[in-house]
Amino acid sequence: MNSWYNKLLFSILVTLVMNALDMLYHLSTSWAVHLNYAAVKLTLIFLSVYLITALVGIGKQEGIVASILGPFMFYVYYVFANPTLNREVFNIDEQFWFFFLHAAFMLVAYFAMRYSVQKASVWKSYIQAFVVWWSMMALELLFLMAVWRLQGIEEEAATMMMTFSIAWPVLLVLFVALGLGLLVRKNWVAALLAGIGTALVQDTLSGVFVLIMTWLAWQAVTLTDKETRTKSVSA
Amino acid sequence: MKRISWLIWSLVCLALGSFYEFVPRASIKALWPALLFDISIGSMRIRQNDLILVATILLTVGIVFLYKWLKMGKN
Repeated sequence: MNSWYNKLLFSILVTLVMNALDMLYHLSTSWAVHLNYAAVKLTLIFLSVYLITALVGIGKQEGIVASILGPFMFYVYYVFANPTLNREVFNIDEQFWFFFLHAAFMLVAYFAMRYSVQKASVWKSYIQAFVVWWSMMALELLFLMAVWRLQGIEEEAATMMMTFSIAWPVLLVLFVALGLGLLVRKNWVAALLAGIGTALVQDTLSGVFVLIMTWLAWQAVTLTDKETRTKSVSA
Repeated sequence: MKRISWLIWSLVCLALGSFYEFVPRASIKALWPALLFDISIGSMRIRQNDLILVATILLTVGIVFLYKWLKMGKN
């Protein structure tokens, strides 16, 4: 994976998958998902993965280092930043034990993406679909929070609106759409079904967003796959 | 870039990042108030959390540069 844009896409997809796993976990266990904190996580995770990918390469050791560095750095951020959400109302993942959870999600995201760009195997297309599925979850949840922010909904109210009941229908729709897309081996079918399904469970704007982004996510995954390397490449 | 350059840049980033991350705001202000960048850019004011985020980014960059330096030594 020598080109800079493939390394960039690889890092973006790892970041999205990790954050989606994290957000869904938080929502399912009633911990707050807040746009500003999600933005900080996205920034620090992406930076960790991209810098290591671009400067050192992609490999087992690099994946483990990235999976430790990113979560550790946003734990450090939590410790020293001023709280912006009322801790008496919202549970925020600032305790140290969350580091291990975040690191576990990072490992899943990184090695799923690494597997997606390795040489052909029976499981490859399924792992790629997994990457697209969770990337889309992150994008859709971020899209919803961004739309609420633009609509002027106050941040604490938006945090209360972002619940598991909003997320799980989209998760299911994407799962079914991507599964059917795999069956017929047509990515545009998956994107179309995902868009229609999301429009039914959410709203038309989300449906259009999911349709376009699912197709783009598939393109991103297959683009990174075209230049596959399994060894670490020094910059 | 030469191997030593990665180490130098790593130490610079770690030093700068550590300064803003770990030194209390009051101590920085006592040292030199301008170091707090207490200014507005457009309609947005630079807040404490913005400095902490930049410091965290610098620390991340510093650690990755250190990793790169270590990897170059092994190769």
